[in-house]
Formats: sequence, C-alpha cells, structure tokens
Amino acid sequence: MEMFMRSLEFILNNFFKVILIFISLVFALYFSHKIVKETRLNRSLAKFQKFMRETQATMKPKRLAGLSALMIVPTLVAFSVLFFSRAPQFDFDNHIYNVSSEQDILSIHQQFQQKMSNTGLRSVSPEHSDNIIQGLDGVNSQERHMGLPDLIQVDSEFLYILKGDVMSVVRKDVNDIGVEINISINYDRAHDRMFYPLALYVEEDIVIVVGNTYEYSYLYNFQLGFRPELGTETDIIVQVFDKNDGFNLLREYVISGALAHVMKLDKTLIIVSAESVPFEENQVQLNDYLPHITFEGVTYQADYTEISYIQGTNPEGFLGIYHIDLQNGMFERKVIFGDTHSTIISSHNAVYIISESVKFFDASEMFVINNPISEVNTSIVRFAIDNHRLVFHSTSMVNGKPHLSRIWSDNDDYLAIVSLSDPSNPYVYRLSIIENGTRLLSKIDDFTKGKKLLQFSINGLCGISLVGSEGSVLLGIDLSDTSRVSMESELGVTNQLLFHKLSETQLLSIGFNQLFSIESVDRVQLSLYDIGSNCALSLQDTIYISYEDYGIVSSEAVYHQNTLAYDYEHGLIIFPYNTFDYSPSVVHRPGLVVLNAIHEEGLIIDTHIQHSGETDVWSRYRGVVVDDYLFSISNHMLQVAHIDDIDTPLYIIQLYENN
Amino acid sequence: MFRLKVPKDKRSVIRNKLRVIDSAQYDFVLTTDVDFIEPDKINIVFNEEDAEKVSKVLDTIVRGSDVFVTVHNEIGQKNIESRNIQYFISEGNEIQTVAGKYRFNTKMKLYEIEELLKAKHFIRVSKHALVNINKIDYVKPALNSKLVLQMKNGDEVEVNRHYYKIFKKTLRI
Repeated sequence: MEMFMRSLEFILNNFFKVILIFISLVFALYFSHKIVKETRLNRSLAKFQKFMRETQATMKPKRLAGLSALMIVPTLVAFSVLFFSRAPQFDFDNHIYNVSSEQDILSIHQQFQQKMSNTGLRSVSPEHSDNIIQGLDGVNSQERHMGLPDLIQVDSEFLYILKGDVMSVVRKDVNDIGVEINISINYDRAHDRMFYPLALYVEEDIVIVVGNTYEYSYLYNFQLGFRPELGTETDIIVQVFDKNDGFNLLREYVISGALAHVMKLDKTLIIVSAESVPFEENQVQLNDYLPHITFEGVTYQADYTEISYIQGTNPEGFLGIYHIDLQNGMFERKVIFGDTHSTIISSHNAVYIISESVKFFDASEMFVINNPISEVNTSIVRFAIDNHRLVFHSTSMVNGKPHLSRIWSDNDDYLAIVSLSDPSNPYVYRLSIIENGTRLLSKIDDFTKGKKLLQFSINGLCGISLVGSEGSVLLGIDLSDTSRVSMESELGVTNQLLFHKLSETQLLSIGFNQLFSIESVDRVQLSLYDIGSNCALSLQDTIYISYEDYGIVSSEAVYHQNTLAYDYEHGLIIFPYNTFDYSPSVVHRPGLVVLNAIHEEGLIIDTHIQHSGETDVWSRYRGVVVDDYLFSISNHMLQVAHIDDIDTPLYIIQLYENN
Repeated sequence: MFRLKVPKDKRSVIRNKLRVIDSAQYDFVLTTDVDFIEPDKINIVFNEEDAEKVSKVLDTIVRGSDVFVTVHNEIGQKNIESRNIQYFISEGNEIQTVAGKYRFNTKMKLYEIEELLKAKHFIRVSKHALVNINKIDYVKPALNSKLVLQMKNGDEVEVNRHYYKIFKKTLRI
C-alpha cells in the first residue's frame, strides 16, 4: 500500500513527464516489436525462397530505417524534454563549486530548497558548537600562560577584565593594585545597538577585543514596560589596543555578520563570520548580505568570484573566513556560500569548515521525488594556513550527519568527528578520526552504545564523553594510536550535566542532585575524576554544595564552560554559584565557591566569596589566581585576597559604578 | 534436401554457381570428388565446369514438373505455368488468376486450385486468396495478428489472422 501511494505521489508530482515517458516507451516497444517481427518473417521467407531456388525477397532497409526512426524519435524527444528541463548543473571540483555571479547563488539556493521541500524536513544543521571560541573545550585552566580565550586575561603586569562594552585594565601587583584604565569599546550605537563581548586576547604589545554588536528588539512586559530582548547580530568588532601607547586603539576591524568562530594563533587571528540570507523575502538584495570588512575607513565587500559553494550543504548564507595578521594589520578572506551553522575549528595548520552535506538521488535532477535524499554526510573543507595566507586545500566526506567535532594537533591535525550514523536512531554515533581533514584513520561505531551523547572533549590523548540522558556514564577513549582508537574505560556517574577539564589527568563534573523529592530543592554535586594511563577513569571524590548551608543552589558552571577556573599550583577550583531562599521572599545571593582539590581529605569547600559592595543580585562572578592571590570579580567589584586567607579581602576595588 | 561436399577452397564458388543451401536432412549429395559419395544417398558427382548445368538439374529436382492452370479472358483461353502465377483471389462468384500484371479468370473453385497446387507452395492466406509463396516480395506485419504480403508484381494481399499460424508454419518460423 505504501509503495502504491508513493508511486501515485510520484506520478502526480511529475504528471507531464510521466505521460511523456509512457508514450515514448509505448512507441519504442511497439515499433521494436514490429521491427523484430518483420525482420524474422522476411528472413524466413528469403530462406524459403532460396531453398526453392527462387528469387529471394529483399529486406527493404529504407522501411526498417523508417520504423527505427519512429521507434527512436519519441524517445529522443522525451529524453530532450527531461534533459533540458533539468535544473542548472554545477561543475563541482572535489565537492567545491566556484561561484561566478549572483545568478549562481540564486540557482544553487533555489535548486536545493526545491529538493528539500519534498523531504518534509528542513535541513538540520549540525549541533552548534557550544563554544564559538575555540579552546573552550574545558575549563579556563590557568596554567600560567597567556592566550587562552576568555573574558579575563593576565599578563606580567595587568589583569584584563572585559564585561559588556568596557574593558578594565587593573594593575595586578598588590603593592600598586588599582584600575589602570577603563576602556569603552566604541561601536556604532545606532538603533540602540549593544555590544556583546566574546573574546579577549593579550599579546606582548597588544590587547585584542572581539565581540558582536546586536540590534535589540523591544518586547512589552506588563510589569516592567518595554524591555530589550536579544535581537540579531549586526557586526563583529575587532579592536586592537596598543599596550605601549596607553592602551590607545591601534586598529579596528568591523566585519559584517555574527561571529561563528574566533581563534588566535601566535600573531594571527582567525575570525569566521556567518550571515544568513533571507531568501524567503521577495526580491532579496543579495549584495546587502555579501560579507564585508571595514578597515582604516575602507570597506572591502566580497565579490561573487570570491565565493565557493560546498556540494550538498544547505545554501542559506555566507561564511566569511578572515585571516588577520596582528603584526601588520593585513587580512585575507575566503567566502563560503553554505550552512551558516557549520562547525568551524582551527589549528596552527588549518581552518576546517564542517557541515552537513546531503546527497540527492540522480533522478531528483529531473523529477520531483519525495524524500530525494540518498545519503547524509559530513563534509570537511580544509583551508591550510600557509605562510600567513589561507589556501583552499581539500574537501572530504565522512558518512553520517555531523554532530560535533574536536581537534588536536602535533605536526598534523587530528579531527575527531562525531556523526549520527543511523537515520532512524538519533543516539547511534560514530567517532571518526581524520588526519588533516582528509584521511580517515580509524573509527568506532555506536561508541555510546545507544545512549545520548551530552559532551565530548579531548583531554591529552583521551577522548572523554559524557553520555546518558541524565549524565550517567563517562567514557574514556584512547586516542594515542590514531590508526586504532579504542574504548578503554566506562564509569557510571550520576546526574552529571557538564564536565570541566582541569588538566590532562583530571576532570571535574558538575550537576544537580535532588536531596528531596520536592522539585524545588536541589543541591550542586561535584565529582573529581582521575584519568589514568590508557584513559582509565576513576572517581576520586564527590561533594555537595548542600541545601542546609546555602539554600537552593545553582551554578552557571553546570551549563557553561569557561565559568570555572582551576589553579593547578594551589589546587584551587573556583566557580560561580547563585543561591536563593523563598522566605520571607525570594532573595538571590550570587558569589564564588572555592574548592580545595588537593586536600588530603579529598575535595573540600574552602570558602565562598560574596562582595559586600556588589548590589546587583544578578551579578556574575569569576575568579582567577594570580601568583599567590585570588582575584574575585563581580559585575562592579574586584576583591583580592591571599591564597592562605581567602576570607580576608586585602583589597577591594570598584571597577565601575553600581547602576 | 542437398549436401554439398567439395574442397573448402572451392566451396563458396561452387555453392554460388549451384545456388544451393546445405540441409541438415538431405537426400542428395553433390560432390566433385567420387570419394565423398554416400552409399545411402542419391549422389551427383560432377566437374566444376559443369556446375551451371547441374544447377538446372537441381531446379528440376526441386521444382519438379510444372503444373498448368487453364485460365481465360476476353481474348480467349490459355494454360499458365503455376510458377508464373502470383496469386488467386475470389471476387464475387469469380476466381481471378493474377500473373504478373495480367489478370485472368478461371472456372475452378479456390479449394480445387489449392488442392491442385498444394505441392507447388501455394498457400491459403484467407477465405478469398491463395498465394504463391515464391512470388512474395515482402511481408509486413499489421495490427491484430494480420500480415500484408507485398507481391513481386506490386500487389498487396492480406493474410487473415486465422491463417497466420499456418503461414508461419509454412515458412518454418
């Protein structure tokens, strides 16, 4: 019955073409039968007459040629109609098509959407990386080196804190502690735009701020009136400040679109912008959405000839890949027309664009077919970084729909690609190890054994996964032999929602643990794990931030990376929390929790920090250890205490005015 | 009917001269070498130079003696060799004899003519027509299991679907 219905649907969707094919087939069959029959009869007649020693019948080649023409012509006509009614064909070279005009873009989009409209699906983009900023695969692990992407950075002289559109530069020497300067990030504030910081980097002579501007839309709230709601990204702002010149603005780049990826590699900055094109609008002006960058007062808009399309990817917007030389300010750009939700990862060697790529049945070029997708793959496009230039290197495909991707490098890059290998089951994952994005080295099928994958990260040469719908299992995968990766350990855990990498041999997982059955009563559970040789996982300790001491507790660290800091030298784990009570009324009390991870009794809560001068009940706290001092930072305050006596603040500095 | 047994290098030439087809089942052996004769067959041994004469002998063997059919027209009456007749067709109460471009009448019934000329490879193709197979120039299949016979004189005769199988069988299809 299903087969019948599908056939009926196909005929109705392609009625004219089906009729044409049917007629030409009937013609072809009829005349081929006639030709065969006629030839047989006349050959037999000729043979008979030859046997009878009479003049033989002739085969009449002209007549047969005429019959053959009658057989072939309708078929040719049908074929021509089908052939010329095909959608425009694009000549892909290694899965890449180099666009040449606006019409190309429109045709690619139209063709793709036409086919996808028959699937009943909207192309689902790969799981958007929870970290735009690469390196946030684990905790803000302060191992006393710079360059980690964070909104708090430290160098030999200063502590840099980026909050909202203000960067505070604080002298970190406790003998001269104080705010050196507060720098406002200047940007175009038309239409009530706001700035959302996304990355802060500190180099020898410069400080780099990266963020997005947003245009807010206002929604009416009955109690509060019109309130701004997060709207659409407009531009990416990259500002470079000169440390040697009083932190004056040295250079600025304004890049159109939303920030999809940022990574600093030595003296270069890789920025990837993403901008969707509203094709659904009538007469969309494509030129308005072409990636552009403004530098030193000059706007450089991408030309159509700069743009490439990756075969099979959802062509809904532009990805601009910018390679900025921080020393001389020069930049280079590549543009991809494709899926703006692609995952982008990079290393010193290359930038990788990882997208979902669908393959359609060949027949879908000519016919309207329901569900024309024959397979879903993960497309990996590699742009090599060659002598400070971005060079397109290769494209490869891995079977399965992309789920998430990670990278680690030595001389070569190794990509760990997790893809969904069973269309009918969303929890069957394949882990593939790809060298330099081109060569499949090894893989493990269904490595989570049918459990939902919550998190995957690379710790040294171990792949650590948190699986299970309630975070119930930690898996350790040995990546040391990339040609033969293997599952080495499995550890049952409970209620763990996120794990943070403390070091290559330690993990901290964090989640909620319900003390009572009442829904509103929760406590935060933290567990410390050791990663042994061969990626063997073992639980070291578990503690709770209990209800009795704190009331109901929640923490950003349960959901977000880069909120938790680990000081290896002192063994301190610092992360924000928020506690509140319902009686007599709801009171929020945010702060920082400091755990001691090297105490002989295991994990213990050392102390918690709240800034008395911080009146913002929604303040977000962060902590950072500088030398032997703990700097705790809230929305408006900075407090410094010695590691040996964290409860006693030595210095309290107001960063900004309390609003 | 015939089997040609000659040296391989002369086979093609002699075959063309004799206008002969080898049969799987044969009664006659044709050969230029007496050593090739077969005792249980009728053997014709000849010199290569006499091939054309032998061919005429073979004509006589195959066709046999001719049968004459008496026909008449407005001029008078005559006897026509059956091998020169294209076909017989009944029109109304008369039986017409078509020989080349000429048409004659005959007083015999169609079934009588069919009986008379059975051994001369005349075949009934419909209720109204009797056709000389050797005078068919081309066979054209038509719709509904019919055939149209294009005769050597240009006329067309239809093979009725009831006689279609017999026709095919005669041609050994």
